[in-house]
Amino acid sequence: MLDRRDDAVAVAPANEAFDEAFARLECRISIPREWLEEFERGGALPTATDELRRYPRFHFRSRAILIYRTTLPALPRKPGRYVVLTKNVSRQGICFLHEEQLFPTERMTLWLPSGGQTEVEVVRCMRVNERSYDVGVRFLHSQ
Amino acid sequence: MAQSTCDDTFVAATPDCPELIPVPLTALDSASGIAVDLYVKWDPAAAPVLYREHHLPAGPEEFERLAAQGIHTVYIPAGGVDEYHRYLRRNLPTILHDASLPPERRYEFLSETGRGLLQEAFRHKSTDTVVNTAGQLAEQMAGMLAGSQIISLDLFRVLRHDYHTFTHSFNVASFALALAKALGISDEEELGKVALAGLLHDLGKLNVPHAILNKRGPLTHAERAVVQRHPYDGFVQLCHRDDLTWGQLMMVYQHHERIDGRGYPARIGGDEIHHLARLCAVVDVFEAISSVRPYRRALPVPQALEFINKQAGTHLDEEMVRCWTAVMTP
Repeated sequence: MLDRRDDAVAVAPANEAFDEAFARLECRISIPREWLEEFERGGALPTATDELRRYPRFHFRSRAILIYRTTLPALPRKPGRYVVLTKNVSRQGICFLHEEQLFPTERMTLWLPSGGQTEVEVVRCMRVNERSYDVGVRFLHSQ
Repeated sequence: MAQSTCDDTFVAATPDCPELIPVPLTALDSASGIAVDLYVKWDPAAAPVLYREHHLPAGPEEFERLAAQGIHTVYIPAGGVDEYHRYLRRNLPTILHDASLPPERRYEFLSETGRGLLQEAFRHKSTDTVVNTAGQLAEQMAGMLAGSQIISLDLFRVLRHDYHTFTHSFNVASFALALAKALGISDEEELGKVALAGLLHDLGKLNVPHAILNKRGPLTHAERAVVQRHPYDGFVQLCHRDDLTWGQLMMVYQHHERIDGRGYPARIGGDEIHHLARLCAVVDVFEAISSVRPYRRALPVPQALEFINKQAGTHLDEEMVRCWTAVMTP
């Protein structure tokens, strides 16, 4: 059981390089109004009886930077950086909102405000609205 | 084993008669013989009886006589299927280039051969084998249909309409070719790409257990989730290859998306769905409802067209449905 509120939990100091990079990017994600409440929550997410997840997920609202490289042979992705908004995290992966559709098995780098960069692989992507896609990725390895 | 009710299903084994598989008579009347026993149903209500043992020669004139008597389907033992497929492959180049045969007849032969080739390739479970086999088949399909005057209704008549994944794949590829042609794609290479993606569009279904695919009753929530994974699984199997285009991959990944955004796997809608995936969705639904399924009968063409027209604008692309309706209406 969690015994602290979000604002009582120690937060890692912000990383200057991340902040600088983030300041140069535009956030084009449109968060659906009905999701605002979800974004305010903290703690563990409820689980469903038919869920196949091995590890619990925790609410994790934060900004992050997604770094593209060429991902799939037939998909012309240009290298670039994009703002994403994280939703929840588990030991194996993380969910975030992104402004465009990603495809399964695409590999990218996720840069978190603490300065940590991690390689991720897209597991699922579902459209929320015209400027918002709910993306689930799994961690490959951390740098 | 279920008792046969139509020419596209297996025939029950009896003490005097092995399990039989129907084959179109037109697939057999070439110069090269086939070394399997042949059975014929003289009376539509009766069981097939042995017509010719495998070691006895039979020529084209014999099959012509059968056709003249109204026999268009013969039966072979299930154990002779591999020999039947070898026979088809041996004769394919000769038949495809035989200008004396009508194009529909040649396409029917290609369909029979193609189904067998796909069935074998799918059994291998090697993506390379499936893609290479499907690629060769797609080239032949596009080569035949690109310059020919075969109309889509004739195409429908020469195809089988059972519920096997390889039959469905071959039919969807054939219809996708016909619709692409009607929409103005005339380049044979482009048509070949459409045909190849049509053959591969349900590749992910090979991961779905037969018990779920052939279930007669309604699917449970969990079973439905397994079935709905197939576009994702097919895409993941193919997306790292450098010999497929993005359009082909989208035919695999997006053919169950809906125009209104209520499909799967990504719930995208409208123009966000690749045009080849929208094309594939129309012929996929049409093929599915005009073929026999374990849980329902096939709809005749007019009712199948009526059904897809009701889905136009919500599930399916309106313009593509209109075009498909036009080419399938006599």
